[in-house]
Amino acid sequence: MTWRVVIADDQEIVRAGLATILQAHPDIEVVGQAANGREAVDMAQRLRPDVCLMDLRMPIMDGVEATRELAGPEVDDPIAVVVVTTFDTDDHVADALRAGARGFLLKDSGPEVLVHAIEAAATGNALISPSVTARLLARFADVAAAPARQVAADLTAREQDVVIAVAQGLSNDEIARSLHVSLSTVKFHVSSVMTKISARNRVEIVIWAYQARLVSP
Amino acid sequence: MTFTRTPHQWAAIAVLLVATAEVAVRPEMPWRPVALCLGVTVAIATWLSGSRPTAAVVVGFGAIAAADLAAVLAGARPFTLGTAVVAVALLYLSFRRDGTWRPMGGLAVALLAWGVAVAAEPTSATDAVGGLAVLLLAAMTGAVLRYRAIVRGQLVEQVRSREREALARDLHDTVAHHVTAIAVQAQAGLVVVGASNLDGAADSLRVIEREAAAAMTEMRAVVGALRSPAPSPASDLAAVDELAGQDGAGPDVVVTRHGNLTGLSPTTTAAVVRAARESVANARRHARNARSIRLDLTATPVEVRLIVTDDGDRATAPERGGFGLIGMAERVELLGGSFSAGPATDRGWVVRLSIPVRRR
Repeated sequence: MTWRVVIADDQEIVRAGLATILQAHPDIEVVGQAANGREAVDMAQRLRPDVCLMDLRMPIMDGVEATRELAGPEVDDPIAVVVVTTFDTDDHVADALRAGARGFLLKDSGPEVLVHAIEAAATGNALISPSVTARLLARFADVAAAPARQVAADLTAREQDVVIAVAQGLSNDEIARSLHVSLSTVKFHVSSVMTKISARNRVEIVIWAYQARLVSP
Repeated sequence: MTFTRTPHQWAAIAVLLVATAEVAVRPEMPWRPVALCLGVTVAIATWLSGSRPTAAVVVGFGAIAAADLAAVLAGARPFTLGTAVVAVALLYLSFRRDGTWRPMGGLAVALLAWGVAVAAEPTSATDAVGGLAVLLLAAMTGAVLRYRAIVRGQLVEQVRSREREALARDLHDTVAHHVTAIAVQAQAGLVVVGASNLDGAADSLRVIEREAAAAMTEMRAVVGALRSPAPSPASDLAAVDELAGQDGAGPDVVVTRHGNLTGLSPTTTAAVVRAARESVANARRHARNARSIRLDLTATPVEVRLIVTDDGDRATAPERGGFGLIGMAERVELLGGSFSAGPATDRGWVVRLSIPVRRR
């Protein structure tokens, strides 16, 4: 299967470089390149790519706003957005994750990580940059110390195990191995959890896990 | 011989003249030669106060105490030399200038002189207490002003170092984006080259990538260390245009541009935008009865200039100066430019800055 990708970055040389790297992969096709958030939103809505790589600091419309328009809570049919940044300490990364991004990675991560991130975002099978993302999301726990949106008791014991594993950054494969169940069972649990807690992606499962105190920072 | 004298030396000469005059016009004064000696000693102490403030206090009050003591021992009536009151100013100066503990020695001598004076001539309790109060007040005023100056100096240093950090952060931020582009392109080159088996090119691309990666690691560490909750720097001079217009009943802000203002480096742009915002905010806050604030932005081939003027009532410098100005000046000077702020010639306040141009 071929993943169709849109790249949004205001630095032309970075955009072209990312496109060259992704284009070289047999399973990835770069279907569009945008120079700002507005262009990215229009392009992604028209082309419906599997993944949109989104820079954060862009003119006209920034990446956080564009992410919200493509994958925010108001969107019925969200597009998988992966944020690409220069600094992994960028404050806007957290905003983008809250706005619906499936994960983030550094622009210079290299072909291997880049391709892996595209796949993870498109399938939803794993968290992108697991360790950094988990650490970043842990900070939400303090910020959003409000009572849990939903009590963890609504989940079965097995589902709670899966949530904890997801929050630790494990992929579906790794969860299947560690819980000694089949991959399809894990996928079933993950999608059942997402329905119960109304999460639309893995990032939101992790955020919920912190808020519900299933995991602690 | 040169006539260049410090203020302390001029003051010493004045003390000498006044003391001589006082002795001359008061024929009723007892022990006039001794009084004159006292006047000369106080003048010497004043001269000394420029370099050794506390030693000056010791000399001045020591002389007063010695003169009074001599009068008591001789059984004569103690005399008063009005000019000797200058010693109180020396006491103030010592606490203002000479550290925290050393002036205490001077104060001890001053209190001794006070004690001798009270013992030598029966005065009313009110006079005695009044004299003591004058001494302590002079010492306290000096100490308080000294601490105020120290605190202000620390605040100024804080503002300057914050500004240096902000500039370093902006610089790293900008450079990091370029180095990222280098790294991504090197990776793309590697991917392309790998497909067509050009070994030499691949090697050099690997070097570029490794070096860029190392530079980025360093850069991220520095930016992380310098990071503060400050908003990211303005990347466009359009932010200056956004200042134009009127904010409620406040003065009208008019922006004019001259010359080619495109392609300025991000750090220059950020500095200009910051200075413009800060100056407009200052004018809104401080300019009384101002009707308009003018921002003139001019680019020449060698520099970019910003002049901000308002037509408020004429202000005095200290009233309008502040830490914002110190920060602006620090940043502009770090970029090799010049900065000035002060009252305009007819009315209002004017901020001028120019930064050498480095085009992108």
